[in-house]
Amino acid sequence: MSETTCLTLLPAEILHNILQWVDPRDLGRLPRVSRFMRDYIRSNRKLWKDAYLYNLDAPERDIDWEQELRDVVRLQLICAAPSPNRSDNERELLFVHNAVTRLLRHASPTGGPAAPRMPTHSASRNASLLARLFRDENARTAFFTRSFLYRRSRGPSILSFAECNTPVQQASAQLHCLWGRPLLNSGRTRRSRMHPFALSKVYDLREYTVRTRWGPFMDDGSDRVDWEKMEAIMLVLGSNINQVQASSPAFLSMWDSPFAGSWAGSWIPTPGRKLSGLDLQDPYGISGTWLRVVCFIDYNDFFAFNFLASQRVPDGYPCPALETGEATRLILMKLHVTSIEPPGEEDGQGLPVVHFRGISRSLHNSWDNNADSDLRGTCRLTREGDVRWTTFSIFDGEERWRSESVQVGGVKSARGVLGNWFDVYVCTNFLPNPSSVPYISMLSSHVDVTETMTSTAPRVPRRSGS
Amino acid sequence: MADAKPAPKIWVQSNDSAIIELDRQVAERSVLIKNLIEDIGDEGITAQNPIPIPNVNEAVLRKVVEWCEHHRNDPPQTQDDDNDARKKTTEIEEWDQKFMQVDQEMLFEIILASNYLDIKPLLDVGCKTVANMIKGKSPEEIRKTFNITNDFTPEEEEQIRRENEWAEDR
Repeated sequence: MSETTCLTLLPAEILHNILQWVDPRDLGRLPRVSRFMRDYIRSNRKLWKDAYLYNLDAPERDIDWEQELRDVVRLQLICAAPSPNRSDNERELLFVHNAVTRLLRHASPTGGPAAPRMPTHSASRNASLLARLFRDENARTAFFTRSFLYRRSRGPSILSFAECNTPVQQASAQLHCLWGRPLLNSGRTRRSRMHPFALSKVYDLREYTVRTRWGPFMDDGSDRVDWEKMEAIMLVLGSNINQVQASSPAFLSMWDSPFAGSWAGSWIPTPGRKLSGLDLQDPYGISGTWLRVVCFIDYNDFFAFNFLASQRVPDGYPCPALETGEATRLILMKLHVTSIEPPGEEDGQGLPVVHFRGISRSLHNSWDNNADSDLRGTCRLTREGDVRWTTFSIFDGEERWRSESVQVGGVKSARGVLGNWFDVYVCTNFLPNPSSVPYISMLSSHVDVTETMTSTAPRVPRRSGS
Repeated sequence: MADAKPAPKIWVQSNDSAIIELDRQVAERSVLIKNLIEDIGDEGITAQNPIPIPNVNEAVLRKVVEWCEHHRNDPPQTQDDDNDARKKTTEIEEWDQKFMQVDQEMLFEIILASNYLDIKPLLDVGCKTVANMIKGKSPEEIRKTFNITNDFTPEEEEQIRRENEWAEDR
């Protein structure tokens, strides 16, 4: 072989052209070949950047290309073979959580083509990569089913809340929410159905206090998101989602698609949508049409569960699994921005607080009037930077229902907003008004459908849902 | 078409003095030659006065011409395509794969020639072919494939192994 025709003697720009096409994992092996290769690849910012951009979405800002790409490779290797050892697994889970949330943070915002069959959010290589990594059941079990809720379902010991809310459990629950396809079974037995455990979490009134803002937040007034509660809400909705299948295929395809739209800025507005004034300045993308899915249990079940059954549960222990059916309803909301204010002291400082108003209409003939109302609400950042939504349903000028929820994936994500919808009287005297179902699981999705909302009167008030 | 003019011709000369005749359209796959023709006009280029290609021997030049013949009707590559990482793909079309089934020396010569002649798509095909020879191989396999000597001391080797553990199975 002549002098110039050896890999290590090629001009630097040609070697660069070759190495940008190798797999990221190969960049961890090439430096071990020879000193020349080590020196060429080490701290070669341009090479790591090109290799990153060849494989993944272009992030908005410069990142540490080498470190990020190494972590992606590590993530792939860990997902391919999660450690069976429990303490290793917990360490891995925190790494996986960190790497996954970073990949989603660096995912491509709108501008790219819409994802196939899903017109409401853009495609992302990062999200497709993550979807591929967790196609394997072992990886899902290892990292998405490590919350307190899943531990309980595996039994057999009775766990106290002292073993709840560890960083590992929160991380697993958040990953599960970002993945977005609720894993309705923790094993193969009847006992492993997650729905009864999720119900016992979502409808446990002890979970709703002034400190949790009556919603999916930690019970310490910090406004940090309680991902365990978000996960339970997602499981409840996921168990009932087939009831609304026919109503909204676009909505359902989102539920079927791992990591679909689970990143900030993934939502794509309807083409030709015209915004003006305040709507244009709103950073949360509030204006437009939203689809709200709500699930609720019968009032008698709710009362018995909280005030009869739970009397047997000592403080510090979760309620027993709740075996009952639920009703599911679809509501359409139309919102517009009314004012924008600087964030308050307790809010995240990155974005303003945005107030909105609108109307809400039931898509069912059979439900009561609770769905048809005026709405007002606010959107703000928590101190940790999560998007917190609060809405009030107004009947004859009086606030009757309130919701507290968190947008999965961040600002303008297409994934939707998960949270609780509840009777405002819960906040004031704690005892539920016996005429209504006090707590409801809720998901709002920005659908921006254009058809007119039709009122479905007349309806008979049937508040207890019985 | 019987009355069509014969395609305009261009002549190039390898560094070992072989003169090769080719259609101007084929020659213009090379941005270097294309610019040259635009600068001096094709009247100046004849079989007696060919374009000298000083860095490329006959065997390699014929191989490059073969590639240009096959790809004569490809749309010209734009600068935008090149800058957009999203449009890049490591896939190599079947004909190109067969074309690149040559010994390693010829492969590197084609890469160097396409770099010199500024034929970006051929350069990329060559580089991807080499990349595919690297993919998934252990350091020792890469050394063997490319005839590279391991010049690390045992201590260095151990250190560099630890630094790159992230890329290894547990």
